[in-house]
Amino acid sequence: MTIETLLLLARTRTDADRSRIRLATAALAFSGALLIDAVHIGLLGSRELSYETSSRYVTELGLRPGLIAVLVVLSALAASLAVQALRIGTAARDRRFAALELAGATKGQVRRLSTVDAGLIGLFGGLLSGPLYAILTLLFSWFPPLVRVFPGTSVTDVGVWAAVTVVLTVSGTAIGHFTYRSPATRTSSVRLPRVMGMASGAALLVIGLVSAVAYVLPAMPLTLAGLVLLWMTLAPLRIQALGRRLSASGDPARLLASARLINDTRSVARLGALLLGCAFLVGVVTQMSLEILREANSYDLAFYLTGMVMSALALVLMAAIALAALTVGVADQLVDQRRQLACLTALGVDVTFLRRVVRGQIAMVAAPALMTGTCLGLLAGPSGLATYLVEPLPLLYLAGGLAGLLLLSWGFAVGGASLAGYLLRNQLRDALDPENLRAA
Amino acid sequence: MIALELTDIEYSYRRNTALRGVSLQVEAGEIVAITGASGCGKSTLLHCAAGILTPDKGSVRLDGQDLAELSADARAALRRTKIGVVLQFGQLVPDLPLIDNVALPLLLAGHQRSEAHEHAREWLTQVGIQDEADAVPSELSGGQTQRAAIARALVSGPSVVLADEPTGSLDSRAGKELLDVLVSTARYRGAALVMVTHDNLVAAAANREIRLRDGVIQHEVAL
Ligand SMILES: Nc1ncnc2c1ncn2[C@@H]1O[C@H](COP(=O)(O)OP(=O)(O)OP(=O)(O)O)[C@@H](O)[C@H]1O
Ligand SMILES: [Mg+2]
Repeated sequence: MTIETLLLLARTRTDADRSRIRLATAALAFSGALLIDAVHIGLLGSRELSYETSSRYVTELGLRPGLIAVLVVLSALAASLAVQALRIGTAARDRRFAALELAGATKGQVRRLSTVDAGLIGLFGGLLSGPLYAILTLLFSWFPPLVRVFPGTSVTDVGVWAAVTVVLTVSGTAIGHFTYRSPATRTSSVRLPRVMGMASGAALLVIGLVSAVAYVLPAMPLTLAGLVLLWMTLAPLRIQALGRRLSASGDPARLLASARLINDTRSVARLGALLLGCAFLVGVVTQMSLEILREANSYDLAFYLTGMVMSALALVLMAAIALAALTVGVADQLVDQRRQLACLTALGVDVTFLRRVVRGQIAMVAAPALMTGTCLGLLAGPSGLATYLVEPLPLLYLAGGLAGLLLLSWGFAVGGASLAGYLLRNQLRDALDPENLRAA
Repeated sequence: MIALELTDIEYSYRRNTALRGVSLQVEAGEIVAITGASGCGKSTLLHCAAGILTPDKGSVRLDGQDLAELSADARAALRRTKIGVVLQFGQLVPDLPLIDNVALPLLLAGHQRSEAHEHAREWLTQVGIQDEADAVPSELSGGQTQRAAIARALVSGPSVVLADEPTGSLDSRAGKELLDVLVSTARYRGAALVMVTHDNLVAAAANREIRLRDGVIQHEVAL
């Protein structure tokens, strides 16, 4: 295969494929920008900065490591989101790879296409991360100094940008290479619940929760890891069951909606796990904020709350991107099934109805993940169980926070799903166009 | 010389058995028609011969080489160079222009694009769709798609051509024209041609007709 052929075959794309790529690129650029920020702050060493121009999180030497840690965690979240977006199997892409194998492409050649594809996305994400960092810096400089966690640009940032680009390109290439599964060998059904995964997830969760009584900070990652592991092993089963139940219903539109849940269970479950992770951290941040509010007399209130709110906003942004990734999957399914959907027009199905189906499909995956995540985050946060046991947080506080979070995360899931339905309205209308009956 | 040899092939899908012991030898230059009722296993047989499906039992030999003894990559290479397949459904790469689709076996084998296009264009002309070279598969009619598939099957000069309902979506005149392309190419090249068909006209062009029924050969007629 010549380079020209490689690029030709790696490039041909459908709309859904393009959205998948845009999402992955955006998430990577975001991840890269946060990383540049972290490195920039790290490189400051013990250099003093003026309180006039930067947030106290940056100016106070003692707080820098904490800020760097938060930035790195957020960057890692964004990167794993990008990986998920890369791994969403679009039906068109699968068909293309299958057709290529039919034409005599070896598995290695097809894998190379996926590698080049992901490598290019890494490269573009990396290239965009620098400008994005500059834009974010500019944007934050319009806000009061308290929130300016991007401490300006410098010449060394260019070097860091280049390094980040290289790292992202290399990781993209590696991900494309190692996560590629030939459509022919991919199994659609979920095997028995992986007992090991489930057991170790539950064990981690219990250890995390119990050890939180004594060692608050180290316990939190354990809890989160256990939670995500447990979710990854259990969610596919639930999603499949949901898909089966839908597919057993007599309603043709529901029948079609079930197909994606059954066929793409894994990537749906992984996106759900990401939502869960974001939600958990939002819960933790909320609990920390509640704790600060309780000791509300300190003059540091504004300072801490700013940090909390900013972290929460960043997490909500991640969750929004994860929802967008779910939406891309749904959109892809619609395009893929446009022929069948067009048949439904004859049965009297209209866009409004279809939008409801799409909304349901997204909300059903997102809402449980978000609600579970925020609640457990709230309970297991740094001053969580330990404090609750020793000196109970006023019940009103806890109940209020819990109810508020549940409502918010439910609203976020349903609102996001409705928004997705709204954004997809044209695709839905196109999908219902009887002209599609001609499509292969 | 025997170009294609199937020995005692059995194949089962998850729920039903499609082939129950089919043996078949096709000489180089010979034209064989496979007929039979819908669902009797014709396509399955063809897919086994092309190395797309691996039979549960029995062997497939191509130019004396046992497919089961080859690695997956070697089988892919064989599909690219020695076998030309025309399938019943969707085998063109979506959203890839026709000219590239037809040139694909050559491109995958490492030929330069311009050189591969030259060959592809010749074959597009042969099957009468040279004007659609830049169209993508979704913009084609069923018959045009079929022609493109035939052009692609022939572009690498295969020694065995396997075609599933090659004239299925064409009217009888267009079907006849395309059949002539297939048959004359096979004759000229000395390639073995195996066609699955419902069409009497196609069957009549063959040297031999093999009738399948419920996954076994019901009878064979030399024509
Ligand atoms: N992917 C599959 N999974 C399960 N069963 C299959 C599959 N493909 C074919 N079959 C079954 O295997 C049998 C043989 O199918 P095959 O496609 O070979 O028939 P055919 O002779 O080509 O029919 P037609 O003339 O309609 O194309 C049929 O009973 C069919 O239902
Ligand atoms: Mg068939």
